[in-house]
This record gives sequence, structure tokens and C-alpha cells, in this order.
Amino acid sequence: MASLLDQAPINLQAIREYERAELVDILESVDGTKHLVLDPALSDLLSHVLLDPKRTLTDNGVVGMSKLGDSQLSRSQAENILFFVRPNVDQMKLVASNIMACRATRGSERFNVYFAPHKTLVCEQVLEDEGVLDCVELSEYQLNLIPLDDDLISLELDRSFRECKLDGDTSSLQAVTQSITKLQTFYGIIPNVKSIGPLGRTVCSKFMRARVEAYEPDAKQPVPQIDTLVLIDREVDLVSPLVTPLTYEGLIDELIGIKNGAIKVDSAIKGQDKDKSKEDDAAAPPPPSMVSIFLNANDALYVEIRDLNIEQLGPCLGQKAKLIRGHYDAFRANRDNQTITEIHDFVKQIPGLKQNYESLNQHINITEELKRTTDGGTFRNRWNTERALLEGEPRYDLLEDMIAKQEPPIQVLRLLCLQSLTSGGLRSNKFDFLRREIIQTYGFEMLFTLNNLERVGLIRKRETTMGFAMETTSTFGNARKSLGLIKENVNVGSPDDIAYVSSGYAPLSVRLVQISIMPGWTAYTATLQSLPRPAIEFGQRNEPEELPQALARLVQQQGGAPPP
Amino acid sequence: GRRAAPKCGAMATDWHALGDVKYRKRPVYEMQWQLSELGDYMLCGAPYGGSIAVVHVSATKQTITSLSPPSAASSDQGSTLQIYTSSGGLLTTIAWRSPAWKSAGSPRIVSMGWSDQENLVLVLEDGGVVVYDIFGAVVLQFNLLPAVAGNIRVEDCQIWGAGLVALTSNMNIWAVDNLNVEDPMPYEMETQLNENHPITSMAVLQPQFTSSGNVEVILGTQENTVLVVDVNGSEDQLLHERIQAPVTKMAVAPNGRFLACFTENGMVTVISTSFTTKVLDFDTNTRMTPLQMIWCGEDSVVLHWKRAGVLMVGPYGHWVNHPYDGQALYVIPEADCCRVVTSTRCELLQRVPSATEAIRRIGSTDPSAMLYDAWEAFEEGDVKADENLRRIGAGDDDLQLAEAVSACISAAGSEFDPSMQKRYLKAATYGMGLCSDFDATEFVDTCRKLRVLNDVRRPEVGLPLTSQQYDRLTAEVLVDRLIARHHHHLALTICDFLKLSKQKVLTHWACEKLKSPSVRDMPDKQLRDIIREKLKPCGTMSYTAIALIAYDGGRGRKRLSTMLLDYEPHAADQVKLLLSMNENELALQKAVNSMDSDLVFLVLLSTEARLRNNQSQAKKQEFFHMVYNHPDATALLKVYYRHKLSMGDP
Repeated sequence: MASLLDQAPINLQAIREYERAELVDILESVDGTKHLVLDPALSDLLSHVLLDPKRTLTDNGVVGMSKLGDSQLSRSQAENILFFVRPNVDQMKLVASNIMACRATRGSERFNVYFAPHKTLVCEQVLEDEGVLDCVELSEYQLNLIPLDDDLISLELDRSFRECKLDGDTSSLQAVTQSITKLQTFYGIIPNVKSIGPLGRTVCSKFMRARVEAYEPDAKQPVPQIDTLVLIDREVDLVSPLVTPLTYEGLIDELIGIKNGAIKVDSAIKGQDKDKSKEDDAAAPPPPSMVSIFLNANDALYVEIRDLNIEQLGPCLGQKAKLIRGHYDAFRANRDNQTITEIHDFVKQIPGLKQNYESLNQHINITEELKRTTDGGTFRNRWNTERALLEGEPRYDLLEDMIAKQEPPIQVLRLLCLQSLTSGGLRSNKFDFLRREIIQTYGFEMLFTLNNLERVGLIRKRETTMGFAMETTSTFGNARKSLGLIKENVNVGSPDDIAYVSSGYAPLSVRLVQISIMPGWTAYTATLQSLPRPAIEFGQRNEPEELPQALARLVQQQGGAPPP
Repeated sequence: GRRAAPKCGAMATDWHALGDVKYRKRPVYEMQWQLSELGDYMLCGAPYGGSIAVVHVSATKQTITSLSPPSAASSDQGSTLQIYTSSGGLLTTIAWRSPAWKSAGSPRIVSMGWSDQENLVLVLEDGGVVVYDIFGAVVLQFNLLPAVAGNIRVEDCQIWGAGLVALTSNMNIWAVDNLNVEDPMPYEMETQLNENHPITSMAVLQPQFTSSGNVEVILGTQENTVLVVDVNGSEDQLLHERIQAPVTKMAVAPNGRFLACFTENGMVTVISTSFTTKVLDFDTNTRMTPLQMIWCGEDSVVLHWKRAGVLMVGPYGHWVNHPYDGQALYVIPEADCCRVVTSTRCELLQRVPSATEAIRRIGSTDPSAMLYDAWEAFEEGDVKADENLRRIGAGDDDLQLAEAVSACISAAGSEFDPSMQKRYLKAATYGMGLCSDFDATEFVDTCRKLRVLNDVRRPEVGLPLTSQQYDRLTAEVLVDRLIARHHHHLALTICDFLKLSKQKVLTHWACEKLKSPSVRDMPDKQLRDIIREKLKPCGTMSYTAIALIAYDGGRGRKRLSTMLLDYEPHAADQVKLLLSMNENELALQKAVNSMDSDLVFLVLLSTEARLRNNQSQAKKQEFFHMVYNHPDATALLKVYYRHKLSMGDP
């Protein structure tokens, strides 16, 4: 199940409760039975807002649910149809087609469309163009902070990068702004703000402006519970997501894929569950082959192992297994000469042990699944190549080989991007050559992908004049040196540097956060200026003021308290 | 020794006893107006020390100017309506029969009244309703009666705080519940009476006093009874046994619980508004219907006849007569007292507050009276002071002394004369110093309130508010009233003093500044700077309302308006107004600056929609150019057009 959030350093349950109440309010505001049509991007999020989604929904008159675009909607018997969608133009078309189908079969009626996290005018216009605006009621469901774990709140806007950087549609920043505003209403004004990258700056201006617009001098502000807000534009650190992680959680995401704080895996991995459900309810249909497993701090074992390097994972799990076995054995060995109280104590431990055992079993299964890939030579080669690229060695030969071997395009493109980013662009002749090779091998469709990658800056042709490269060092090269992104020897057993999470590369974003606290960004002004600009730092006071346009450089503003 | 005020005994003799209850008559203002004979005018005063509307009776008489041309003087008097402050300062003169009033044949005024917002409501014979603000600007104008009404006229009309009820010539009722909207909805109430059974009097029971929450109209009929009419129909209260003659005048008490009726045979009958209990029967010994019968507070009724002074009747049949030398007068009801206006003076007729009574009653031995005496002795250096003080509470805990202090504070609060206020407050502080622990909040609040009240009571402002009225009205509304009277400086001072938001005051000031003829020839930049300078200390505040006034629907100064809009912190308001001013380029600029993609899209969409109807190529070029200059806007438009193209809609 979703994280209980009981170990969170700040009261995240308040946010969940607020968003739950908002959803319940929406449901209560519509009389009669309801059928929910959910955007696939939102359907999994509901379980993070409602700890018991089924119950809450049925209690509030929800009789059916379907995916957006699903045609079974028209057979629904519910009196009302409520759409919950992301404000995307594509989704609007699905909404429109669903509504059209419904109108044809169920007769004309009114529909409610809730935008999460916010409504946009473009979407409204699209609905009008599609001719359905007259029968829909548009509102918002401000689901803009999803507490996935005790230490992780996400907006879960996975299209945001593409929209902002490729399409130039920055409306998702509205959600970011709203979420920061919401954070501040719950946990007080955040006294220190640090931001890097152009979109970070935009968000800063936006939320400062929002504060000015909403300012009420007499309103009570909660006591600040958050010291520093660090905003990092993804553009600043394009490298890190391309690098293969080597921690347990990182690899799960890499190889299985964590979505909304959960993974979907074969039910066999979950282990005993299968047998148990059969015992419990023999008449029930066999469980679906894919089951969801939430990965969060509810699972004590997972907390222990989530950040372990894959090399350490096997021994650690082995130890745990022995420990549990030891408990049972100790009990069994002394079975005959135990007092009643001793037996009683042991019996009391059983549920805990059982849960531990199940969890252990589950993680052993997942680890086995991961090891199947990570123990292979290809995987080893891959991260060796990455390491070489990160250190600044060009590996064009390898890329050519990969294309020739027709390896999965995603792998090829990933390395290609990494090559480009780490060496300040691809050499002109190599660029043209690789481009042609890729298009010829994987088909002309790749042309668009390559163009898009180029547009967002993931690949770049190094500018040359008269055969000489204009730039000799890359942005990344600078940062690598000054921020110490590469660690030669990392101790994976008891790590002392974040570089252990991969093959010795410390993610740039993590370093940025690290230096924002110690010794502060000002100490690295030169480095920060070589990254996508601007890097800004300012203090927030209770009385809001708009961010001045001139605040484009790294400055320490008056009123900003020194970081702890 | 020196004496700032007369000794207490002298003061107490000014009181008039109505049974056990004491009333006092307090002069408030010498009237500044030049109305020699009030009897020639129809007056209407607003509660909470509000303004007084005055119109010559010729405007209310049946004689219509077109039938018999009257003398120039009277037609002149009848065609204007004046609004004065409570102190008789002229606020405005309205030429209500001017061509601006389009209705034919100059219908007579049936009734005047004041709304809760202190707007003057004028109801005309033909059903026309005009609402003016206190400076005579028309706020609202509509007709009560449906267009098909034919010859039906309005006979009588009662205006209450939020709405009005009108009696038509066919003895039906038309009502409006909310005059504070752009388009009021008059509705009809069936009385089941007709011209042959005319109504003798009418009163309104406001919705907050009725069990149904609807307005109820109380009608006196020729059959010696009373009907209660609401939207669901009428109900006869069957009062034949309790009332001997038709009711010719009615008044509902400020708390809505009692109804005073004056019957044709000269009886004043007070009955509960549930019509179950009769409280009073009082014989006035005259068969003449009084000009006015109103409540003074919640426990006495005031009546007056032409040139016969004011008769006050208490709850147990006690009465007192204030002769007023046979002057014509007019009484304005207030929630806790009433104001008596003559051609020369404005007086307050008020029940003596219990605290004041306890202190000032002759021979009072109340602790508060002893505290006051002790303080007076102390001021004179008399050793008796200590002795007096010791008698309060006689050594046990401070409870009695604390109560005495509270009473002094409360007495100060209900005083109009600053020197008396000071004396009571000094007595209070004298007592406070001897209390072991006394919460000074009440004292501080009272001082603060009195400062405000003394300021607004000055004749130049002319708001004779009592402390109770101020509490009911609230400081915010008082500020609104001051703004409406253009006392911006005073309003600002009060806001500062009471720590209220000044935004409202400044906005109104700026709007009035823009409207005033003196700035007509001032350069835009200079005017903007003047406004900005005044408003800047207030911090962030909305400029949209001000810019809207400057723009004046296209008739005003567009450039000045855009200049002012530059200060608007709320991007959405800014952009929308710019769009309505057809300043597309600037609107786009502001939208892009705000980084709100929704706003950018709004500008693009509305600009484009406007273009669609315009075939001019130049305009289109202009649009493309405008979009091209803003890459953010271009990107957004692309996202939208991509979808449009995929729809197959060019």
C-alpha cells in the first residue's frame, strides 16, 4: 500500500488529507451515482491520496470507473460521469470522443471534467473546437503534491520536460508554482531559495508573483518548517538520468520501472501471496499475472536495502535470511525446555517475523530478477562505457559497433546523448555519420527523434570553423573537475560519497544540492555560471515582493539567513 | 476651584422620566441649512446619523405641473431635491425632473427612503424607481410595475434597508427584495383586496424578523383589522376585538418584535408582531392621524402632529410631551434612539444609558456614582476622596470597584461632549489605579472609539453616531460612509488609527481624482505620478478599478489608463483590461511577462478572433508580427494549431 508517511520529517499526512478532502468534496458536490473516467496518468495516483480508494469511492457514490478513451463508458448506468484528466490537448480529444459516444448512446446530458492539477485555456478551447464545451462543466482538482514516500513529494508530471523544452508550452510550470505555494501554506514561508536554470528562474518569479497577488498582511503564516528550497532545471543536469544506476532502488527503476511509487511485476515475484489467496478464496478467479508492489518506507527491510549498491545486496539479503532462520531455529531447538511465557513471547513475534519473511522473499525474488541482467556482460560493458564517457573519453567506435549490431535504439541513443553532453557536442563529421547510420539502420522515423533530441540539447553538433573546434572544453567537463563528479575509488560497502550510486559518478544534481548547503553556492560561482543560467539565491520574507528582473546573476540577497 | 462641567445634580434634572425609564434630549447640531419652514418639505433621513433628503411638497402633491402652471417659485422648488448631512450641510441638489428623467408628464414622488448602502431610493407614482448616491449620481433606475399594468399607479411605498414594497392603486403589492443588484426583480404579492376595500396603513416586517425568511407586509384595513401579506398570500389577523377603529399609522419596532398602531379613534396600540399579545393601549385624545409615528429605541413610541410638538409614550402608558415651540419638525428613527430635526436644530432623543443613570441619578449610592464622586473630590484636593472610595466594596475584593470602573468607561462611551467623556474616563483611571488587576482592553477600546466618534460627529462631517450605532455599523462601514462623503483624509486617518486596510479609501480617492474636472487638462504623466505617490505607501494594491475609471469605457484617457495598469500586481486583471481596451500588443507583452501561459493564450485567442472578422491584410500582418516577436507565444500557438490541423480544420 502507499506510504503511511508516519516517519516523515514534516507532517506530509496533512497534504494527503487535504487532497483527499478535496476529492471527497468534489464527489459530494455531485448528486447521485457517479462513474469516474480517469486519465491513465492519474489513476494510480488516487491510491496515494486515498489510503483505501475502493471504500472511499464507493462510499461517495462511485459505481464505476474506466480509463479515458475506453468505450465501455457508454454502457455505464451511473447518473453522472466525471472525468479526471491532465490538462493536455491530446487528452481533451479523448474526452471529447468519450462524450460524443456517450451522447449517442445515453442521450444528451451534462458531464463534469476535472483538471488535475489545473485547468488551461488551451484545453477549454480544444473542447470548444471539438464541440462539446456546451455540455461540460470544467473545474479543477488541485492534485499537485503527491507524497510518494516519507521523504519524497512529487508532482508526477512526466511530460513536463518535453512540453517545456520541446514544445515551448510552459503551462506545467503553473503546477510547479502552485505546488510551491501550497507547500508554503502548509509549512510556512521557505526562508532561503536557490534556483538554477532558466525554468527555475521562471518558477521563482511566478511563485513570488503569486505571493504578491495573494498577499494579505494580516493573514497568519505558519511557522517555517522548511529551511531551503532548491530548484534545479532539468536542463542543468541532463547527464545523470542517462547514466545507469547501481543501487537497488535505482536498478529497479532502470530495469523494471517505478511508476507512481510502485512497480508492476509478475505475481510469482510476490511469492507466497499466490498460494495464500487460493486458500482464502478458492472460488475467486486466479489473480492477474501482473501485481503492483509499493516501494516505500512502510517496508522496513526495503528502507535498509534500497540504497545499497548491487554488489552489497546479495550478501546483505543472505544475512537477513539467516537471521530469520536463526529465530525459528533457536525456538525449535529449545522447544522442550521452554516456559509458557517464553513460548508466548515468541508467538507474539510471529506476525512480525512472517511479514519480514514475506518481504525478504519478495526482495530476494526482485534481486534475482535484476541480477539476471546486471550479471551479464552487456550490462558491465555498458557502465564501463558510460564511465569512460563521463571521464571525457570519446567512444564513437563503440557507438558505430552498436548501430551495426542493431542493438535496441534506446541504448544507442542514450550513449549518443551521453557522448554529446560529456564532450561538449559531437564532432561534426561524426555527427553526420552517426546520424545517417542511425536513420538507415532504424528507419526514417528516427529522423524526428534525432531532431527533437537536438532541439532540447541532448545532442549537439560541435561548431567548427576552418576545421578547428570552437570550444575545447565542455560545460560538463568544467563541472566534473570543479565539483568532483568522478570518484576514482568508491567504497561501495560503507560509502562516503554519493558517487557509489553509479560506477563512480556523483550525479550533478546531488552535488548541486550538497554545495548549496556546504559551503554555499557563492563558493562555486564560476562553475555555476558555466551551467545553464541563471543561478540565483534569495531570501523570502513574510512580506512578499516581486523578483526584480535584474536578479539574473548569483547574488546573496539581504535577509537570507545563512544555511545551517 | 475650577469646574469643567456642572455638578452632577444639575445634569440629572435635564432628564425626562417615562415611568422608571429616563430619557434625555440632547442638542447635537445647529442646522446649517436655510430651510425656514420644514412643513413645506417632505423629508427623509437615513439611519446611523445619515443624510437627509429634502424635497418640496409640491413634488409630492397630485397637482401636476402640466395641468395647472404654478408660480415660478414653487415649480422651481418642486423640481429639485436636496441631500443634506445631519448637520444641514448641503451635499447635493438633484434636478430630478430634468430631461435625464425620461418618463413623460413628471410623475409625483410617492415615497423616499434610504437603503443600507445609504443610497436614496425615490419611488414615483408611475412605478418608476430611481436610486441615487448621496451626491446625486443615479445608481439604479427601473420600473416596479410591469409594462402591461396600464393605469395602475403606486399609492404608497415603504422602503426598508435592502428592498421596498409598494402598494398599487388596485390594492396589490409589488416588492423588490434586493436593490443592491444591477437588475432588481420586482414580484407581486396578492392582498385579495380591491379599490372598494382600500388599505388604511402599511408597514414592513423585514425578512430577518419573519419566521419564513420572506418579507411580510402588514396592512391595516377599513374592517378594523390587520392583514399580513407575503409572497405566499395574505392572512387576516382578526383583530376586530382588540382594535376599535381602522389603523391609520403603523410602525415596527427596531427589534421587529412589536408593532405600534395608531387607530382612527386616537388610540395607540402596541401589539407583538406575532399578533398574540397586546402590550399597550394609550389614548391620545385626538382623532387626528399623526404626521409620524416611530419607535425611539425599543421601548417607547414617538408621535408628532403638525405644530404640536413630540409626544413620547412609554411601555406602561407613561408619556411626556416635548413642545418644540410649535415648530415644524421631522423625526428620524435610529436603532437605539431617534433624531429630531427642526429648521434650526438637530437633537437626539435617547434613553439614558444605565451606566450614566447609575452615576448621575440624584442621590445614587451605586459604586460607580461613589467612584465618580471620589474622583471629583480628589480633583478638588478634598480628603473626602479617600473616604468615598473606601465605601466602595468596603474592603473585600475589587469586584465592586472593577464594576464601578467599567460603568464609568461605559458612561464615557455614551457621551457626546468630549469634556464629559474626559471626566468619566479620568474617574475610570482613578479607580483603575486602585484595582489590583484590571483588564485595560475595554478602556483602550473605548478611548479609541471615542476619538473616531468625536471626529465624525464634527458638524463638517455630520455623522452623529452613538456608540451603540457605531458598534452595529462597524468601523469598515463607517469608513465606507466617509469615503462616500469624500472625506478621504479623515477616512485614511481612521484607517491608520484603527489599523484597517487603506486600499479601499485610496482607490476611491484616485477614482474621484480622475473624475474631477480640475485634472482634465493635466498631462497624463503628471496625473499618474500624483496618484502613484499617494498610493505607493499602501504597498501592493490593485489599480484595475482606477485604470477602468481613467479609461471610462473608451471615452476617457486610454494612455493614462495603460500607465496606471502598469502598477497592477494581478496579471490577469491587467491583461484582461488591456484586451478590452484593444491594446493587444501591450496585453501580449504583459501576459508574456507574467509567464502565465493561460494569459498568453487568452490574448492570442481573442486577438485572433477579432481578426477573423476583419479582412484587412495589414491587421493580419500586425498580428503575425506581434506573435513573432514573442517566441513563447509562438510556441503556444503551435501546440494549439497542431491540434487544430489534426482535426482537419484549417
